[in-house]
Amino acid sequence: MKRFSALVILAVILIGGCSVKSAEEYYGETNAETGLRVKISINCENAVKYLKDNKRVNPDILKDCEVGFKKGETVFDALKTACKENKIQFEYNGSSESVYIKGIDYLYEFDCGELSGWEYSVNGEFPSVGCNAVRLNDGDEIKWLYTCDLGADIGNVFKATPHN
Amino acid sequence: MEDFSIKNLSFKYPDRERFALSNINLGIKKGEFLLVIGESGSGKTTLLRMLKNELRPKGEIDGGILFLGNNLFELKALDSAPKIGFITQEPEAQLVSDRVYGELAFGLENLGLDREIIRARVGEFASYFGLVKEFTKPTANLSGGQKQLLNLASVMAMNPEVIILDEPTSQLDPIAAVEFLDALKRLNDDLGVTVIIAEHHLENAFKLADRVAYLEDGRLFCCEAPEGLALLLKDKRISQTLPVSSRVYQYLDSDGKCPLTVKEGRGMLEKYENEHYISIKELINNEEIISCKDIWFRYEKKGEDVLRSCSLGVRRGEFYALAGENGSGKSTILKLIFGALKPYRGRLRRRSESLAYLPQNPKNLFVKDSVEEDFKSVNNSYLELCESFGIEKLLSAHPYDLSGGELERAAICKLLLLSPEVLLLDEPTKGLDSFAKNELGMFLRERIKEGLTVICVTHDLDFAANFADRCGLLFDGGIICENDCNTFFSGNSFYTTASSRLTKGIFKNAVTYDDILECIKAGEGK
Amino acid sequence: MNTFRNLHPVTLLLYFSFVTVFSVFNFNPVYLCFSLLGAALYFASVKGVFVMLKSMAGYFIMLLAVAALNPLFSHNGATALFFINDNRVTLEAFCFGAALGLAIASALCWFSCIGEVFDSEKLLYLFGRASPKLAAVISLSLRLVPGIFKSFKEIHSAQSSFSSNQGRVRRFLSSFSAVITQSLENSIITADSMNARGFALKKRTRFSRFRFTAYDAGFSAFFVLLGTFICVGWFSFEFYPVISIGRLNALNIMSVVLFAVMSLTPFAYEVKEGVKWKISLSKI
Repeated sequence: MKRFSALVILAVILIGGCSVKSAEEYYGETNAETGLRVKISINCENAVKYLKDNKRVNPDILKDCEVGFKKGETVFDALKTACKENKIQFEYNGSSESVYIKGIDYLYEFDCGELSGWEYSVNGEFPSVGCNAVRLNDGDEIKWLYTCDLGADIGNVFKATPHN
Repeated sequence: MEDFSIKNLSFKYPDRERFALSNINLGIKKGEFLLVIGESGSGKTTLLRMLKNELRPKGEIDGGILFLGNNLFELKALDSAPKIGFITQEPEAQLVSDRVYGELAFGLENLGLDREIIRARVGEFASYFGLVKEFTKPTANLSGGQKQLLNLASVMAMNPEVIILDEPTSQLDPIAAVEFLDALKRLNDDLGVTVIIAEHHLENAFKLADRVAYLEDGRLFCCEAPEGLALLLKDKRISQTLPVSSRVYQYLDSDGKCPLTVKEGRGMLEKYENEHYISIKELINNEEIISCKDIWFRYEKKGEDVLRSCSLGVRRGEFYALAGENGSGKSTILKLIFGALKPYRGRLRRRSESLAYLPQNPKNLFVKDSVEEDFKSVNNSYLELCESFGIEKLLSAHPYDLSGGELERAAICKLLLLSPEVLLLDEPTKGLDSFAKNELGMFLRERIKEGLTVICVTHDLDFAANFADRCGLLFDGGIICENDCNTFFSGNSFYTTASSRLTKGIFKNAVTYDDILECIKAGEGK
Repeated sequence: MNTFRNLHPVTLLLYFSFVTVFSVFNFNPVYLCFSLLGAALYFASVKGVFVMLKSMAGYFIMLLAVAALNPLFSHNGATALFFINDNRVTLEAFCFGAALGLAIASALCWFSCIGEVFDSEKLLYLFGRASPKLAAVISLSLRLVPGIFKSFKEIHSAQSSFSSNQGRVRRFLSSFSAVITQSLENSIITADSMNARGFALKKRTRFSRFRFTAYDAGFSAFFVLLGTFICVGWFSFEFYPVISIGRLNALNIMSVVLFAVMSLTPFAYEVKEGVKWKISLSKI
């Protein structure tokens, strides 16, 4: 009985900490306009080359998109907003400390070999921290790029550690 | 042609002064059934083990042994293993395989025989020894007697020239022991295999032997046909172990051939017919310390009843012996009385709550490295008790190094340290020779004089007849007859002692050798 | 009556490795359904329908739990049912969870069948093939280990007379050490008995009651053939991003049919032999 009530309490906390929304609700939400905007693109050219099948032919999952943001928001928030507005699937791992993007548009890490996965650049630089740690500035240009070679094929040559 | 010829054989264990065997000369003929007798420590086991290369003890050997005319010590291992079979007294520990057929095949596999040959041999010997039903069963499911038969069968499957058996029936109940000896005799008769067997219960084994070798302190005293041996041993303590007919013959100094069986022995006593009897002792105390009234018991909910409406009363200060077949529920009654099990119906009353229970294997009572430590863990004032029991010599020994009789007495002492009023014994004579049995019986009688009540479950009818006050027979879940020992055994015609069978219709109520002597003396005095 | 388990152990091993491997490394629900059906029917024919249904109820609960939990951990899939903290909970992930549950259930069910079919005798035969000497040792331990437990129980209960003089833990420990000493004593006798019968003198043979007959060979060949064709026509079942089977060709269909045949073989065998037995009885 003790164990059962502990389970119930745990479940309530877990559910209480989550916001559950239907798909329509989720995609219907819009950000309040603040005037601050960033450019964001998502590109999987390397995966297209690697997979060479007819299921994935378009390297541009998201091209030249502009999204608004609030002060204090991060690269991760920009990705969420962009995906929400364009109804693109994505999946992430991690908590408030460090977020890691596992997959975007059904394209996941390791889908193109052991060294493949998603990385991002802000204004041409590849930050070596989680995407929720990089604050946005007005006019930033964010690129999400799929690599098949730990970043070497997308120009991220200085990266010491492969993931995050 | 002789299978073995032992020439001037002497043997000494390392670090011992005394020779375990000295200057033995003995020839064992092909197809002979040789019985080796002697008190414990006389060198029976040592002699038998000298004949098997793989089991020969380490020590100084003098003299030699020829096997089929060649030096036994130089016999190749691949010949020695199949040609000379060896069986020891532990039915369980000798088994190697988990399945019966695996055990039968074990030796043949070791010889690297072809699989189809093994199949044929194994099948043949399983049927010869009546193990067909058990063929695929786990060996753990067999009874003690079946296990020992399996050991015999698996040795026989290797086609040995000789089989050597070291007290093979000592752990078996009397019925299984007779079956085992009969199987052995049949092998000897049918296949001509040479049998060398050491035994301490001679009532059944004696008559089977072609010759009997008597060892005394490591020397071969004589090796004679059993009929001739009885007179030679007349003044020896060992003659206590001879069949009762032969003992009476020894006592009477009769003419003619020594009788070995009850049938042959009855003739000697016919002249005393119907004149003498043993009077029945009155039992003084009628207070029942344990009384069971119509108790029922089963082990599993859907199992069969082990006890059905079983009633039993044990009086304070008596020695009650409970006899019955294997699996008749004797041990179960003991556990019920002890309180380890509970009857599901009926009333069980104990006038005393201080009971002690000796399990079938007395080793199980000892868990320390010496008898003394074990005693100390029960009661610190053990020394006086041990002195009064005369077992203080055993205190420093490791419990497992004690002989069967010593272990049994030490175990009872350990229980007596709890100062119980009732002592429950489960098969206390298992594995004991006649001398140890007598000592145990006398030891118990003394404790009874001091006020102890003893309930003893036993197969050993001689032991019961000699030492118990009353005896009950358990059959079909209940006590079917119960009486003082003399009335009990003289009333039964098969389930009784050899002495009672020998004197049935001649001496009334005589059930032990001492009873017979008493009657004969009374007859001579007249 | 002849039953499936009377086939030669090697044939049985071949069969059960095929079906369990196909069940464990496979999330194709088309195959898995047949696998579970075959396992459940055979299990029922061995242990009875009631026991089978009881274990099936357990598997079903497990399947539901896996199906419900998987979407919480995997957010792949195109059909978003709802969102939890920006993570989509998808129909595809639920279906994948169900397939995973199905795979676990059928593997477990096959394992319980294996437990029924392979007794110690068959296991010993299979492992003993590597070395007849090893086989003897395994056989010995199969006998000794239960014996040790039994004698521990006996010693422990014999010690109960003295329970007032020692604590429970000490009683347990002293019984334990006594068991070890007794087993060592007995093992000397066992070793003597092994030596006396010529153990380790030369290369042993290994006797077993099993004979590999043409019947067993036929069945083994049948299983290998089935396995090969099932693999040749194997098709994958895509869960992500949308559930799709792709276009099936004749080979794929043959593969499924053969897999069904393979899974149902033990049950069909029992049914066929049962009928044959009845007929042969009615002829008497």
